[in-house]
Amino acid sequence: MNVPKELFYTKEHEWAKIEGEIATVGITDHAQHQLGDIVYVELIEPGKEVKQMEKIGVVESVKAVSEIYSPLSGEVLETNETLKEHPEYINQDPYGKGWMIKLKIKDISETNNLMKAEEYGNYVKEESK
Amino acid sequence: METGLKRTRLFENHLKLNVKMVPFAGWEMPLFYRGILEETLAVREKAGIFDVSHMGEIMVEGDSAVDFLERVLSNTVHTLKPFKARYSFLLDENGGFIDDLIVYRLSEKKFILCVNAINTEKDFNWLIDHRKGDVKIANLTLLYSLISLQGKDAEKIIQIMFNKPEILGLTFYSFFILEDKEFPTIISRTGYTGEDGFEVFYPRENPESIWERAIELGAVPCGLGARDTLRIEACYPLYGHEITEKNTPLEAELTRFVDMKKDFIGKDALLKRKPSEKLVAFKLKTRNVPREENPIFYDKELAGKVTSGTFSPVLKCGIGMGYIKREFNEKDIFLEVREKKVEGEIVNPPFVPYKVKRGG
Repeated sequence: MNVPKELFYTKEHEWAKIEGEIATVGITDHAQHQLGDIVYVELIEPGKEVKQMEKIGVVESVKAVSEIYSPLSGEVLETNETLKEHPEYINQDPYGKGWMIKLKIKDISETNNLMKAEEYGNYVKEESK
Repeated sequence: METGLKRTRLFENHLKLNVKMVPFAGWEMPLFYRGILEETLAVREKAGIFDVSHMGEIMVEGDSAVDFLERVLSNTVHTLKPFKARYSFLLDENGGFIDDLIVYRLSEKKFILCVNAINTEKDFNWLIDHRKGDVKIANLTLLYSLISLQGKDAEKIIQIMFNKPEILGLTFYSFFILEDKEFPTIISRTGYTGEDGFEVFYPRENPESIWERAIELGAVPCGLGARDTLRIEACYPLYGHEITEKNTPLEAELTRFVDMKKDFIGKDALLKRKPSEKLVAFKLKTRNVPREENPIFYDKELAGKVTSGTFSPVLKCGIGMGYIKREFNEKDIFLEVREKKVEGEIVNPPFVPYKVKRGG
């Protein structure tokens, strides 16, 4: 399982990459593996304000449907339009081409509610016991 | 870890392949290895191999075997020649499905029924309860491994593995007995994918060599996930979804596997029954995946519900089957997915053309 060091994680298996006041958000390698082949992605519209852990989208795999939550509060600046045609990018490259939304961060202190890589790695191990 | 689930003889081989295993019908079975869609496409384009050893094998043998099977099966048995197989149903007195199965005629008085894993015990008990005359019935499920090799390269691979010209001569629903023993190895040209392919019933301890050799020769290991997507693309029904004890071959549009010229359990009920629903196949205009129990609508009216759905990697859209009321005849339907309308249309089955090798 790939858990990049520099990212923050939620208990719902989203990741956030923080660069200045912008956060890029997606789902983790563990999440994509659990879902299997993702075939459909529905994301919130740019311009919307979201609160931390508010729903920002849905992914469907052949076997399951899963809601996606925002790791942080903020304004949705951009969504990854290529996922409409290529939802498989989430399986192939969950931390790269499979990113889902970019947010303008409202309150950076909310990262205190998120997990760092090591903590998330342990959380997944515990969860799959 | 003790799971209480049965394991096939290929269990260790699956674990070596970084598989996702799931409980299915009391067995611990592969769901997928590399991914459901990749495996589905491998079968459509080259060849895939499936461990389906969870399937039940029930042997029926004796002087009264034909008469007995004519009574319990919906399809004709006496016209079936040795080394030929036929798709049929076990129906209850109401005409409801107990199971669907393939009956293989090994000789004049000896048959094997290949049944769904989830129904093996139920079918076996039903057969025992309705036994009449000189008939021996044995559940051979734990004896037989079942390996399914499917796709256009299957013929080439199986020929290299067994090197028997008789195998090349097989047509769809015929089979070859490799070793003529009490419990023989059977190679049959059958499958559940719509592609050409073979199923090997192997009664010995070491099916690993067949599995490994087929993979060496290019067959892609496939799990139950791909098997389900392939059978939905082929519009083959699955027990518990399209066919259940609550419906009959009339609703399921499967009367071609019911011989009304003979007597069998369930016939009287079928003669009286006026089906109010019909099984249909539909595809969506989007990539949403239809889910079992999703309601199917026409305009504003509720018409029925989904029994199976998947994403078709061939058509690149959501596809499924479901029951709708018989009075609905228009093409355009919609499903409700998360409170939004998703449009679709009824299509003629199958979604993907059959490539099976028909006889002359």
